[in-house]
Amino acid sequence: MNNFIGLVKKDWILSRRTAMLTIWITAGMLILTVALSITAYFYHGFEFNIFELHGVLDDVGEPLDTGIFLYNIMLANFPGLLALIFAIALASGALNNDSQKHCDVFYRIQPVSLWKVTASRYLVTIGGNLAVLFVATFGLFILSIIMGYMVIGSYNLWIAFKGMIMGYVEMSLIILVAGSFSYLCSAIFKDKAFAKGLGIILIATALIAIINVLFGWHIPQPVLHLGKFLFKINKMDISLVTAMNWSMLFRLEHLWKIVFASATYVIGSYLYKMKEVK
Amino acid sequence: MSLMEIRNVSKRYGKFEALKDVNLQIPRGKIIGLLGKNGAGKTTLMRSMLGLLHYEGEIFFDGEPVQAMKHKLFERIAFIPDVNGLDDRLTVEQTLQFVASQNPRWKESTALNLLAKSGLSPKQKVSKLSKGMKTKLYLLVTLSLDVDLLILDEPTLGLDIVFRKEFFNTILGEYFDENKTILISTHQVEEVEQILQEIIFIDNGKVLLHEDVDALKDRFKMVSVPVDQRSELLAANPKQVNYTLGRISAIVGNDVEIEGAEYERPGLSDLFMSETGGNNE
Repeated sequence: MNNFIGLVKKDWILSRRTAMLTIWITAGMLILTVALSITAYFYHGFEFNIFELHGVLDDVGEPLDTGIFLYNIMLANFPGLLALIFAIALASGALNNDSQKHCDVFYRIQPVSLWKVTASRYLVTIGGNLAVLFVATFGLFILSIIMGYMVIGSYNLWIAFKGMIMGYVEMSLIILVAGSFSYLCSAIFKDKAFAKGLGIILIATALIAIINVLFGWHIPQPVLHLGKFLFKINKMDISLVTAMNWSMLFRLEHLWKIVFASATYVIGSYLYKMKEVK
Repeated sequence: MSLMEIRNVSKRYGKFEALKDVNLQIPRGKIIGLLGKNGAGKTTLMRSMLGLLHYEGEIFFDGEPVQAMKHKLFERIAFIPDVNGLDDRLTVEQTLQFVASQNPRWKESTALNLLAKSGLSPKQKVSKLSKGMKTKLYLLVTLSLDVDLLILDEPTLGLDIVFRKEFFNTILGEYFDENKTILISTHQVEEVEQILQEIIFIDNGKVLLHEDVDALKDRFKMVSVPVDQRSELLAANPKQVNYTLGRISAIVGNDVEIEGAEYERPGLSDLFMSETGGNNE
């Protein structure tokens, strides 16, 4: 176990600068928002209530609670987008950076199982970004509580917490899938792995489109399927959102995303393990 | 039983055959030189021995197949490659901590002792170190491991002579004893000739010779005669013939006697040239 901790420590040292950008950018945005809100409050009064959704969701229970819930679901979106970009960037070099930096032999001759090596890299590049995303989202959640009390004088903390967690989970699953795909690409390509992997999918899409037009066939498009798979939340039944309960987390598409991520980890790690160090 | 045994090992890169049916036995407690031209197969052989390449044939370490040992092999073998391959993004201290955390046979006291002697600053980034200092760090890391076999693939390539001497002195002083084995491949064979006990010549992927250095040198001698005795020398079936300042020299069998000739013990580089067809006659 000690050597796994050593691996994680080393991988975190190599990744932390990129991974922490999510927190720094979110903190910058947060400070800017607070500064602008204070300015607006003192100079013009603060009349807009972002938690009130009268007229939008009047037919679904308590509109204020629904507003709080929806607002907190969306908290993870901005830092999530950043974490998604950085997870893809880091995972894209997870298994090929050593050979680019000419230190692949140094790492391959350590007496530690290659499954541990790959587990550490996967954990740091993807899990590290998810941890950072959680910290950033939680920061925004705290801000939402403060704003809630300032603007409406009361706040349903439980509903807000549920929204924050659910939003975080949805965003995390997108990062997990895209990051895992990038990780798999890093086992296949020597450099610019994610771009090359995506390029191949896009070329396949174009070829399929041409074939479908030319021959009148209906071969399914990989990009459309990937998009649907990644962003299924957008098509989610609104009743699930307005129900505001934990059942949102336990859906089949979430399970498929976890299965996809696990499969890409296993395949990517196996390819890395089988690679020669020339 | 030998420490390492290589049986019928062949390796191809596409159509190019880098190793051709190599058979070798690496004994315990010896310093062994691996000599070959560029592209002869030295690096391929060493990396195959470490299980870093796929190959045909079998390689055993202490009786166990290398490929079955997987990462466990590296608890007993250390390797310094030809290109300095430390991670530039880490500091000296982080590099040492990482290797220490991965190796059950890490000797902290040796590491601290070597670090104190090395002049390396723990907080310095590896990327900021000179080539010589990087090699020093690699050596420090490697010699702090209590392994049975140390494989060095051109470890001093591109370093100045002072550093090269220091490098080999450190290895002999800090690592070598009668239970440990060192396999060195180097172009500067003259620098390690005095410490080598056995030599392996490799050319075009084939092992030409594996012999005790003293026994090999005893089988041949370097003979030098005036140019007008050329025909006498050529009659002795010489190898590696050279003309210098009115004299002609060559390597001949130890039993050859030519009147008026001067004799010398041949160097390993001369013997290598003679074995690989370096005759310029």
